[in-house]
Amino acid sequence: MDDNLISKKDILELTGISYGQLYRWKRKNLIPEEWFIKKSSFTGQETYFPKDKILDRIDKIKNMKDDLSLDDLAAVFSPNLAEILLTKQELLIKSIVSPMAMQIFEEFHGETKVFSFDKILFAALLEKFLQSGEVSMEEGKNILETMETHYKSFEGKNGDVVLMRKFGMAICLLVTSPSEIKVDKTTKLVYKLNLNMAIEEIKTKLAEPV
Amino acid sequence: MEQNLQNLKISGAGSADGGRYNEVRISGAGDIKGDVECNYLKSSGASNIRGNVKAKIIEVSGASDIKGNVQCEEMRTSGASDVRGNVTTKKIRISGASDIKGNLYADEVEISGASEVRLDCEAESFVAKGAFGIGGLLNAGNINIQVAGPCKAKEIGGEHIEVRLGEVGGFISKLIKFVSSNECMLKAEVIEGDNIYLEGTKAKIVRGNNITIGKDCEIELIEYKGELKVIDNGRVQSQTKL
Repeated sequence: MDDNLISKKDILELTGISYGQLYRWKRKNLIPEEWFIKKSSFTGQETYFPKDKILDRIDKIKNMKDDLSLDDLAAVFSPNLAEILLTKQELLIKSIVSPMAMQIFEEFHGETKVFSFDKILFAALLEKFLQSGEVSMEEGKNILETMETHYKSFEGKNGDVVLMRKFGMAICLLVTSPSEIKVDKTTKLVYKLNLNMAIEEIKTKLAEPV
Repeated sequence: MEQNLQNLKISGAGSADGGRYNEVRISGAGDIKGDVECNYLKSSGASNIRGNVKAKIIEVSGASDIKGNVQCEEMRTSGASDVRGNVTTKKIRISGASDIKGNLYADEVEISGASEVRLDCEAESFVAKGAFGIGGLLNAGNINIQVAGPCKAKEIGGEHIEVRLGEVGGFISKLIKFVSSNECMLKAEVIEGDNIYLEGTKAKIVRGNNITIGKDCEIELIEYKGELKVIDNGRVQSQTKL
């Protein structure tokens, strides 16, 4: 996360937006709190942002702000679950879930014809974990089970899904974000995915024309 | 809202469970043992609400405490009342020494007296007269501060920021000013905005488009894009035009 940060000053310069606008967009939750990273510099504390993410977000806001109110924009970026229902076919067609991940999902859940946003998220996370090449199908089911049981209590909050492994046994965690996890030397932090990022990716894929 | 909600009135040392009510009035050392959802809440004396509050209008005074979060449309607090959690509201008027231990999220904030928000304060309009403290970031579109006591915020950000030396009215204000004229100032580490006018302000860094540094200001560094004016006895250590 340390690489590719841009200072607040530079981002304002690059994008031509003002302090007032940046603060307003922060208030309206268009720019997540987590992206404001404080670091000491020779003038004191300065604020930095993840460069690619902030540039992309500001670009999107500038493009959409004439058509949508700031509150509507916040809904586009917000992590709260939308009233979305998709069929299994649509998920496959939009490449949110691969046939392999879908099979594992259905092995765990039973046949699923219609997916609510929660289920779309779980399937998409499973897909990404499997795609990483680091996670087995059994562990994938473990991840699904963890999400099923605990995700509701996270609603609205950002979190990370973490898979750890020790002596061949896998443990899945759902942790609030931002947080740092340190483990003992025989435990391996296998893979980690951020909920908000996954949700945004899904929303973007859904918005794309097929 | 439902039609059949009852009113709750506690006085003296009575207590009640939380729940959904129409109007809730607590005074004395009344105690509510859980979350409260109501249309109107009036809490005074040394009463305690041990939970979250969701209401349309809230009036809190005396030394009453709310141990959880508050969500409402309008809130007026005075005296030494505290909220332990966050306050999310449209309008809030705080006076006296009320404290919010969490964040304050509002459309309109009016503060007078010596209140504190421990974490961040976000608003569209922030008007303060007297003294206040914000532990984190004051992020508001329109910020209007009249300094008549010690004011502080860790960081201030917004569009229009105006800080002026206020009328030193009232005995306490005069006393503070007499004891230490240093205290009648706004202290912040960073102030960033589009248009900034400052008096009685001590800050490390001020950044913005158009900035005026006026009477009794001490600023270490200014970075500005448009125009910078330093007037009266305002002191700026170093300035850079970007």
